[in-house]
Amino acid sequence: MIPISIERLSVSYNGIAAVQDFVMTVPGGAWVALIGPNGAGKTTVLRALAGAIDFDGEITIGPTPLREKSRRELARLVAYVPQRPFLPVGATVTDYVLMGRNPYIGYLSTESRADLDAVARVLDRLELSSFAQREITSLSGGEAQRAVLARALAQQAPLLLLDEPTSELDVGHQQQVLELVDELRVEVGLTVISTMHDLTLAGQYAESFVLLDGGRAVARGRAEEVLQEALISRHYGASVEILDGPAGPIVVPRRLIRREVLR
Amino acid sequence: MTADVRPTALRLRWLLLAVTSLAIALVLGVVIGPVQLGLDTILRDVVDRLPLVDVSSGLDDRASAIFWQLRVPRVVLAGLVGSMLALAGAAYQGVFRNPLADPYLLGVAAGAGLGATIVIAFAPGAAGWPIDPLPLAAFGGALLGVSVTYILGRGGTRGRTTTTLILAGVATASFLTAIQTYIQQREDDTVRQVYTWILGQLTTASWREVALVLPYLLVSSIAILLHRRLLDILSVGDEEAGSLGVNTSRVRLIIVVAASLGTAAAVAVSGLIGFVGVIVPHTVRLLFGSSYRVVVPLSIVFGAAFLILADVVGRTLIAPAEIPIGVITAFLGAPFFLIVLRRSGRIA
Repeated sequence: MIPISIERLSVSYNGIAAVQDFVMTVPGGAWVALIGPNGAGKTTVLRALAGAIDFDGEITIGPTPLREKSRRELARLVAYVPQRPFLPVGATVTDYVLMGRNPYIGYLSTESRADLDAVARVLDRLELSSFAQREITSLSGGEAQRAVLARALAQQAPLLLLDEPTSELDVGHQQQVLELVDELRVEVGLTVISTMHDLTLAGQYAESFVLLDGGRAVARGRAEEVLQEALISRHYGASVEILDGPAGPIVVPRRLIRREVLR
Repeated sequence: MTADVRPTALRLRWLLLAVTSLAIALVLGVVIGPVQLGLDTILRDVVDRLPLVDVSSGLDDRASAIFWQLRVPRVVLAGLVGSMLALAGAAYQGVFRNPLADPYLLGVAAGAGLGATIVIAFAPGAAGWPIDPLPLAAFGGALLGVSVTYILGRGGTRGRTTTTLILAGVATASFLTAIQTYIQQREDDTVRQVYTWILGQLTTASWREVALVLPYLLVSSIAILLHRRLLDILSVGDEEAGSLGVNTSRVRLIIVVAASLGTAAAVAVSGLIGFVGVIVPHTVRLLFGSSYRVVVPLSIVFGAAFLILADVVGRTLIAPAEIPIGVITAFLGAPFFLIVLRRSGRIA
């Protein structure tokens, strides 16, 4: 289980600040949800953790700073599921998931039996075995999302970054995917950091929350501490009601009046 | 249920099909020509040249010279150049994630042409130097061409799309060709030599050209073949490929240098031949799938077959006159280019 610490992270795109002085520590094996309105900087934090962008500040994954790691070393530590992954035309699900084994395959060599076995296990685990030879672009949205998760799991990295993992899924598949991530978290000690728009789902899976707005962390804590009417109304500009659920708060959008048309 | 996790790979029967096509192209290439030599006499002459075999060859000295000193090197050179251009096209398409990338359309060939023209114009007699500077100058020009195209194609405000890169390539190629034409006109005592060269030098192919181009092609092909798995990973884009542990800028640099080195050598011996890098890899993709594990090796073999056949057409269509080989490839390639453009437009 690998702990993560982020110290005064700042990122700007073309001079416009996306994230400012962001601080976060995540104990190994935890699930942290980054929430906040569109453009709050959630994805930017994940991209910095994935080593995909330049940043100011310090990120430490396990014992060593992220900056000191090569691309390969980082890919063995961090697996990243982007919000809109690019699905290459013509690649089979096997080809695609096998890309996740790249950090274990020698620079100019090809995959070993062990890599293929790892792919088979992941496909089996995500119930994708019957799709192994299908082209990835022929899958449904939910199946493709599982294939992308499969590629990340094939990396066998102790930190899993999920950017809106459920945005393409119906309610049944949302629960399935999150349940699976949670099982793996407990089973193999994954540390999970995810961004999520669905606050109810987030509240039922993540242990702790960081609410971002305008590139800064504005609230943090357990679900009940962050998922509060006042905070959500202030930062999302939304009117919601918070109900008690068995596994976490339930956040329901609430409309105050209905507009009636005179007939 | 256990998954069938065989990754996409080159199948033996595809390779056999490709090699058979190449063999047919080779035979047609050496048999067809202004002097009728006949397949049986040629075969006997080939067998005769094997060590420890002695059969009476049907070829007299003159026919034998035509065959071994003119026809065979020309066919071999066409094959090598075709392989290289097809391979370079596939490699550029992979690293730029652009289905229309081609050495000709990216300004690589024009840059190589400029480099070669400078040597022909300002260092006549350079062919006698210990190391022929022509391919090296062509290589420098090729790298210049592709770098300028890449930088221009990236700088657009709307981000880099399929067409901006190609438009940048067209602009770069025009500019480099303009400089080349200027040098050519100023140094008019070498203008004929440069013109012949631009139109395609397969007409004057000899074993010297084959020997000149071969080492570059080998280095370039081996380097690109070794990167075929990484070319597939680049298809998901830099950010995702990076998160999978690929140092994308280093891989891109190595592949671009390798492809440009080979292209430069090809241009140095054969002049400017366009569209091979679009036609061959795309046909391979349509027939056998789009993994670079398949596209790279098959483009090498089919590229050779394609250019040998294009050369046969070029020298027989209006025989005894010849149509420059670049005209044949452009005639086939331009419509093909439009089809690929339409298809890629629909995907994007």
